[in-house]
Amino acid sequence: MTNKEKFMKLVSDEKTDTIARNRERIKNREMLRESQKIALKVLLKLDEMKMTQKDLASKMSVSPQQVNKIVSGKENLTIETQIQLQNILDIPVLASYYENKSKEMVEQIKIFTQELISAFNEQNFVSNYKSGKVIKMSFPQASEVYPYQEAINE
Amino acid sequence: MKIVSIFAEKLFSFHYPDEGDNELDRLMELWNDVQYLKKFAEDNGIAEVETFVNKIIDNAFEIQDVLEEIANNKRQLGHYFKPLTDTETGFKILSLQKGRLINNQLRIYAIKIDEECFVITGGAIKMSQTMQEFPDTQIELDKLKVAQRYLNDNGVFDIDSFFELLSEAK
Repeated sequence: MTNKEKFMKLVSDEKTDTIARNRERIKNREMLRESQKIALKVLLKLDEMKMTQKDLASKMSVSPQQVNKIVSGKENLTIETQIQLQNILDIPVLASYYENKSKEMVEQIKIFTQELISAFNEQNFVSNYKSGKVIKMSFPQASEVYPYQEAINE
Repeated sequence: MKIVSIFAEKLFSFHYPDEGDNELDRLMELWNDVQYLKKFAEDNGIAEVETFVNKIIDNAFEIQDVLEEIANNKRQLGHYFKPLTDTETGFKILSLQKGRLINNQLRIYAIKIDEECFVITGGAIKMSQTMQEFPDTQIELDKLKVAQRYLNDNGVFDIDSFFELLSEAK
């Protein structure tokens, strides 16, 4: 009996689907890659926010096992799940994240501009400028108060 | 300890009693698991976690492509291996002869039964020059020895000691 024949006697009759699973992975590669990128974003953000997977599961109203699947990066995530992750963790998952952010920015710039204009139009503008009073702004990303002098010099 | 066929009568894998999958399936699942890879990076003091995870996933994709090529019978199985000698153990190890896998950090270890027959014993993310320097590869080396003993006890003798499916740049 050859070495190979002896070896074959040790091989189980059990059938494997390794090659089929591999083909499936190759076929779904793009989807898997996106899912893996989202999983990594989620895990890093959870660390940053000091949140557990259990906390996230509770906020998403799903089981911790479901969150575990998401962070493994092997799930074909539904749009609904992607929206939940994006909103709860404030991470960019869908194109809408940037669209919404840019809309927010435009709104904030509008408010900022209006407040700046109204501050300049105040009757006591000159005296405010001289006394070093400040202009209050509701633009959250920037400093909330601006000295009149700086506002004018800008 | 079970041996299962992966592809025809050419590529086989061990399936260990405490594992749900055979070694090849287990490794492919593990190397695609973002949570596992992130923890691996953190446990091993890797500073660029994101870069590491992405690299290993890309490495795993390369292995998937090679497996598909093997399954399509494009070349003889022996083509995918080239001999390396681990000077610490004296064992001959084979590695893949494909340029595009030169920088691949993933390793699949196997024992050669004959020219066109390999049995996979396990695999690991290679983190050190020699297998003994890193716990995961040391475990794999032990698994190779146990598998070899199992085969020998059953009258099967490997041709050329141990083999490695994927190699570092040498």
